[in-house]
Amino acid sequence: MENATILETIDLRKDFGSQKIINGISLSIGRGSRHAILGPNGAGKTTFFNLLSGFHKATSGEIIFKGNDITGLSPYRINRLGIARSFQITNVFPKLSVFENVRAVLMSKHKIRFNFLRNIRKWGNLEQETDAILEQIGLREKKEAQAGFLSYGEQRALEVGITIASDPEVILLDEPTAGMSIDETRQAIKLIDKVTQGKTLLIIEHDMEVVFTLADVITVIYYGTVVATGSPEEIRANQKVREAYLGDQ
Amino acid sequence: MDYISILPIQILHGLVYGMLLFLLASGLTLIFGMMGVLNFAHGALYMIGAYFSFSVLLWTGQFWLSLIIAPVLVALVGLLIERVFLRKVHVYGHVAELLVTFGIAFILEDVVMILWGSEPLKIEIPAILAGSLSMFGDTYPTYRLFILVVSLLVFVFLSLILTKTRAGIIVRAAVDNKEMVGALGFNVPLIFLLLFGVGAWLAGLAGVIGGPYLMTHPGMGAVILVDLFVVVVLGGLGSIRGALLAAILIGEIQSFGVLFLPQFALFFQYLLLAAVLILKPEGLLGEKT
Amino acid sequence: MTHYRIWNWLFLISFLALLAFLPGLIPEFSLNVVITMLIYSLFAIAFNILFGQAGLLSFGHAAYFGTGAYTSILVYKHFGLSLFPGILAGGVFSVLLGVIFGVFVVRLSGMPFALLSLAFNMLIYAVAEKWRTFTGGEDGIAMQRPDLFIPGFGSIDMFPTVNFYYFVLIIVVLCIAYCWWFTKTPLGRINVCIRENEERAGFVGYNTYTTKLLVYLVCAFFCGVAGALASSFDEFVSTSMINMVKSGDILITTFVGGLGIFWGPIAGVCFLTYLNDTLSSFTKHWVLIQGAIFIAVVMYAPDGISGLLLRIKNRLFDRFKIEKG
Repeated sequence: MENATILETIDLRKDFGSQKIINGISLSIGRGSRHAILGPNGAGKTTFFNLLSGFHKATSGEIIFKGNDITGLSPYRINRLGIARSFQITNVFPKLSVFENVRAVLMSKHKIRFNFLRNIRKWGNLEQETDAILEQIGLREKKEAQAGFLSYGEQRALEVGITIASDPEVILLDEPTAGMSIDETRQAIKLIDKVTQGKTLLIIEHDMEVVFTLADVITVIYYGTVVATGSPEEIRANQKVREAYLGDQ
Repeated sequence: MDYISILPIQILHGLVYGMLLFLLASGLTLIFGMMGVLNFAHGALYMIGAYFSFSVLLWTGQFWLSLIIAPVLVALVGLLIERVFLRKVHVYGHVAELLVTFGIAFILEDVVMILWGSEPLKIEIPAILAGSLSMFGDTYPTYRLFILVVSLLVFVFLSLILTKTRAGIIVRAAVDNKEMVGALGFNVPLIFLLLFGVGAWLAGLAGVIGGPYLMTHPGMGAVILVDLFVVVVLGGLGSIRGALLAAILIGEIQSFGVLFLPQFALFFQYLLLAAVLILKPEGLLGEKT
Repeated sequence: MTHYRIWNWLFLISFLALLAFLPGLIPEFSLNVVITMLIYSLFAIAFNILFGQAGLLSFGHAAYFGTGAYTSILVYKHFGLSLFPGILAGGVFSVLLGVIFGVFVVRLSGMPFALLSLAFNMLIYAVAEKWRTFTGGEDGIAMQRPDLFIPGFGSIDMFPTVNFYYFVLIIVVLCIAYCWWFTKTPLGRINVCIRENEERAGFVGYNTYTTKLLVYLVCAFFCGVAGALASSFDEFVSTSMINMVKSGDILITTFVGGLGIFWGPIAGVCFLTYLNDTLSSFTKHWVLIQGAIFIAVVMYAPDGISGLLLRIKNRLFDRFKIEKG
């Protein structure tokens, strides 16, 4: 199988006023790879995701997805092209049911966005597809529950569900296991592994167990620049990384 | 018409109205900056300032007394509004707070009509202010200069308090970041309350001095509220300096607009408001949206 | 759940039947009040598509109601059209206005949205007031209600209140039925998603701007239809149909009725119209009472009358369940 580059950034930079948060990141993400982004707090990891997903406009540099320049596109366009992201702080549709949360994403995926004449039930496959995804994330039983009332772990699962429902080629997960207990984390790892089969995963994480279980490539970011990129073993052994992370295991 | 010679007078007109607007807008913008609520009742507070003044005048015959008492009464009303109504709906979010002030504006207008009737009132100003002074080769009503002087004094006073006193600095900090100020141990609800009271006091003062100038009638609050919104949005929600600039700008636009294109004076205000909201919702100088 | 559904349908059908037979049951002056309630119910339901469902608070929706009102009267006057085309024109022109304003307003939300809608309302109000030759200014335009022309059938005189009542009833019921249907369509569902989390909606592929604009136009259409019905009913239109008081009124009425339940705004309209009608004979201070009710609802029952009624009903039913053991 060809390990072509599916997503790459070329000297990507982002300034907020006088604050230079991203200082020239050039990264290549291989198709089908599981690529972890590590770095201390404030290193710019989430900002990097924000740039990739279109939330922020890069100050300079390029983002190339499948050979096309997507720099500066709106989030919705980037999503439609095949990149989806999750959020560190759960970002669901609180008053809607779990079912509706996921179905909304599927409607968009199937381009059912503006119809104001047909009852939504007419699209029978939507319900089945939604159930399938709910099954995957383990929330099938809770489909009628209001998203805002779910437990933290369930909300994080829903968060992942919403992200993968658009059937993206590249999945960006931003600290999916933040705040989870050891058991919940183990569950989450299994879930992430399952739902990202055959897709490209870019994951920001602090939990080393998650990183070393899932990732085949790791990039360490420090102060908005790439310190090192390599396989988990290479990164473990890397001196600069050690310095940046101070006492990492 | 000799435009050059009337220019200073027109500018003065605009300045007078602008400063009056500023008295109102300064309170409004501070309240917004701190609470995130655009106080729809601000025009109504202005109105009851004028009406209280009328009654104090009726009662005591002393304009100077009403100048002192009426704003204080309005401040008390303001404190009441914040304590009883706004604080209760604070948990429901900005929309609820907005709606409450909106409802209060409605109610105050009707209360005023019940207590004072719906006909415009005539407020007697003291003889010393009733005449005119000669300036720029013409005469200018003393009363309007009085408005200007009072507004400027208040502005200076307000600036001093906000920049030089500890209380003022705390208020400015709270307007900027109330969570932080709360975390530092200050009683934020109390600051809200006092700020609202001061805003109301300013509105009441504006009502006292503005009533005889602009006409005292139950619709006066609604009429000036429009201009107020333009000023506050234009100047940036939360910025006193912005409010000053915007108020003077609006005052001048009114002054010259009425002169050259009386048909379209109102249009300009609304168009300006719309334009600012469309192009730059944060206004000219403000940082908050 | 189905048991519950049957009761809902039965209730709805009997309610509609009541409305159908109403002219035989009540005197004409009461029928006038009901017509007003029907018209404003449509206005409130349409307004709630934006307020309750989209979560967008507009302080200037009289712009659309008023545009509909002026359009129909002007269309009757200048083109001699019959009733139905006049009403339709009201809706269509409101949509056109909605495009002009909506393109700008829908970019915003929250406070800026509210203020810009206010500014736009004031602009169009100023136009209506100043353009006396066309709109009659503050004095307005009076115009007799034209006939209802049904192709292949003939004209029905709309002067008798009963006739007009049935016309309004059919139009309003159809429109409100569509608005209900709308909430079940994809656009209707996405509308709510955007309210819940606009940012995320964008991230899952929705162009929230065009979506909101489309919703805005749907709302504008029905507000315009309501306005057209209103001016046709009064046989008169003036700036009072397009001013800030009207905007404030619909806002208060909708909120008092309740934003969260579909029929909530209808409850608000009926409640306040009824109160207004009965209390107006006793006191001139209806505004005060309405304001007080409004504030009380904001503070103590922010889910409105409908929310309150539903909570009471649920509590009663819970008690039944507990009693049954």
